[in-house]
Amino acid sequence: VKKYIYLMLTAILAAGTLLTLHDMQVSEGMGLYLALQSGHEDRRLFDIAVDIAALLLLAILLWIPFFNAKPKTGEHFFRIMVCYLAFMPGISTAYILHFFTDFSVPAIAAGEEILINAEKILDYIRLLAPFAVLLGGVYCFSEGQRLLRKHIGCGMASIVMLSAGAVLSGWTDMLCFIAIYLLLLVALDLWKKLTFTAWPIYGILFFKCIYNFYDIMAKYN
Amino acid sequence: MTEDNRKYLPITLIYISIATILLVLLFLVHQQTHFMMDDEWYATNLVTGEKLQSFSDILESQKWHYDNWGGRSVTHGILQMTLMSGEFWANIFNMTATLLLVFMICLLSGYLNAFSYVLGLSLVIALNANIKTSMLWQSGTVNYVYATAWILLFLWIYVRALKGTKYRVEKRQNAGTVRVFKQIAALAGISVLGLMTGWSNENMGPASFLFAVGVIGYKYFIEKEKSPLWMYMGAFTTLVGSALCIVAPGNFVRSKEIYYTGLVNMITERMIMMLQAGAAFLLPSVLLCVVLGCMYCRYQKAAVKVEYIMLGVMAFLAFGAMVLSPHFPDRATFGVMCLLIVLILHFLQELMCRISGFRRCGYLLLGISAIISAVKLLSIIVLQGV
Repeated sequence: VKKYIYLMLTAILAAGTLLTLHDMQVSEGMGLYLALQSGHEDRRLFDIAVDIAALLLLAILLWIPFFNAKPKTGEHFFRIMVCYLAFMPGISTAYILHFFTDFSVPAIAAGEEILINAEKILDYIRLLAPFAVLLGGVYCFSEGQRLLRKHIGCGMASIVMLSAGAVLSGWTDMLCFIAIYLLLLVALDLWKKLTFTAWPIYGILFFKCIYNFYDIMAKYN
Repeated sequence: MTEDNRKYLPITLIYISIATILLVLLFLVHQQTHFMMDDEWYATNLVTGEKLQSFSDILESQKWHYDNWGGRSVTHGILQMTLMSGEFWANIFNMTATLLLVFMICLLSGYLNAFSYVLGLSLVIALNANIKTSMLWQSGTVNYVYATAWILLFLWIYVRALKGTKYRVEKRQNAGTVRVFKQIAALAGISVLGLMTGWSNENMGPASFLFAVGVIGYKYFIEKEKSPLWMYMGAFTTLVGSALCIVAPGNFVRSKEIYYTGLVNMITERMIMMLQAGAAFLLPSVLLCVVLGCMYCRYQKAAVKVEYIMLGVMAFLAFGAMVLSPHFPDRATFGVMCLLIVLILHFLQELMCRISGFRRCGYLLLGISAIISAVKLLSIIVLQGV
C-alpha cells in the first residue's frame, strides 16, 4: 500500500510540474520565440519541444541524487522530488535561454545593491538552510559520524556561490539556483542516512509543492 | 569568579553580543519607521477627527470603533495610548513588548537561559512572514507583539497548573483574611487577563479559550482532579472576551462591504488563502518545528508532553480559525508562529539536554537564524524598505 501511495503522490507532483512548466513557458513565449527565429508560424511544435527539453533537464537534476540513493525505492524518489519542488527556486526556461545567450560580463554590485541581492538570497535559503543545518548537525553530532569531503565541498561551494550571487548582479538567480541545488544534494544525502519518521515532513513539503505550482500559475495567468 | 563561571563567560559574552546587535538593529529600524497608514487615523479621535488629547478621546474613539469598525477594542485602545505618547516612547514600549514576548516564549517553552533567549529573539525575526507589518508598523506591533505577549502569559499560567505546580495563592494553606484577599486578587487578575486574551484578536482569543477548557478537561477526566475556581474564571472571561471581539457590530458593518461571489468561489478562495498561509507564510516555522518534533520522537524515544501537544493543537486551531475570515494577511500568522517557536525551543531543549552532540546543532541553528535576522533588519535600515 505504501508503495502505491508514493507512486500516486509522485504522479500528482509530476502532473503538476508538467502543467506548471507548460503554463509558464507558453506564457513567456519561449516556443513562439524559437518558432519565429526558425521562420515557422506554428508555435505548437516548438512549445512541445521546449516542454520536453525542460522536463529532461528536470529529470537529470532529479536523477543525480537518486543515482546516489540506496536502495532505489519509490519512497526515495518521492523524497527527492518533493524536496526539489519545495525548496528549489522556480527558474523559467526563458531565463535559462537568456542567461546562456547573453554573454555580457556581470555587473559588480555595490552598497545598496548588494543588500538587495542579499535579501533575495535570504528569501531563497530561508527555508532550506535551517533544514540542512539541522540535518547536518544531527548527522554529525548525534549519530557520531563525520561529514564527508563531498558534503563539505558542496557546502563550501554553495556558500561561495551565494556570496558571489550577492556581488554579481544579473547572475544572482542562476548562482542561487546552483548553490541551493548543491545544498539540497547535501541535505538529501544526510537525510537518507538518518532514520526518523518522515511522513509529517513529506506532508508539509507536498503542500509547499502544490502552493509553488499555484503561485507560479497565478503569476503567469 | 568560580571555575564554572569562568568556563561559561566567553559563550555568555557571545550571546550578549548577538542579542545586543539584534536589539540595536531592531531599535534603529523602529526609529526609522514612522507612524503610517492606519496609525495616522488611530492617532485621532475617531469621532471628531481631532488629534488625540486625553484618555476620554480614546474611550470615545473605541466606542465608535466597536460600533462601526471592529471588535479589537483592547488592542486598539492600547494602540491609541502608544500613539498618543509619541514616536520615541512608542518605540520604547515596542522594544519592551518584544523583550517581554521573547521572555514569555522562553518561559512557556520551559527553556529560559541566555542561549534560549537569543535564539527565541532571532527566531521571532527570522521566521516572521512580514516583519514590517507585524513588528514595525505601530498598529501591527500592538495587535500582534503586545497581544501575543499577554496571550502567552495567560497560557503559561494554565500550563503551570497542568504541570502540577499549583498557583502560588493555593499553596498557602494558612487561613485568614490574607489568603482570602490573595484569592480574590488572583481571581481578579486572571479575569482581567482572560478578558484581554479573548478580546485580543479573532483567532488567538477563541483558541486560548479552547486551550483553557482543554486544560480543565484534562485535569478533570485524566488526572481526576478538580480545577480551582480561578481556572474556570479565566476560561469564562476568555470566552466573554472572544464573544465581545467577534460579535462587535462594527464587524458586521464592515462585512457588508465584502462582495459575495458565490459559495464555490468563496470556498476556492478560502482554500487558496489557507494554502498560502500554511505553505508560504508559516512554512519555515512549521518545518523547523516538525523536523525537531520528529527528531525528538526518534532520539528521545518519548512521547511529547501533554501541555506541548495542547499548544500544538492550539496553534493548529488558531491557524484553522482563519478559514472563517475573508482575508488572511501574512502578519496574522504572528501568534501561531510564536506558539511554534515555543514548541521549537521545547524540543531543542529536550534534545540538547539529553544528547550532548545536539548542543552544537543548537548553536548552528542560533548562528544561522541570527545571520538571517541581522540581514533582514540591516536591509530594512539601509534600503528604507518600510
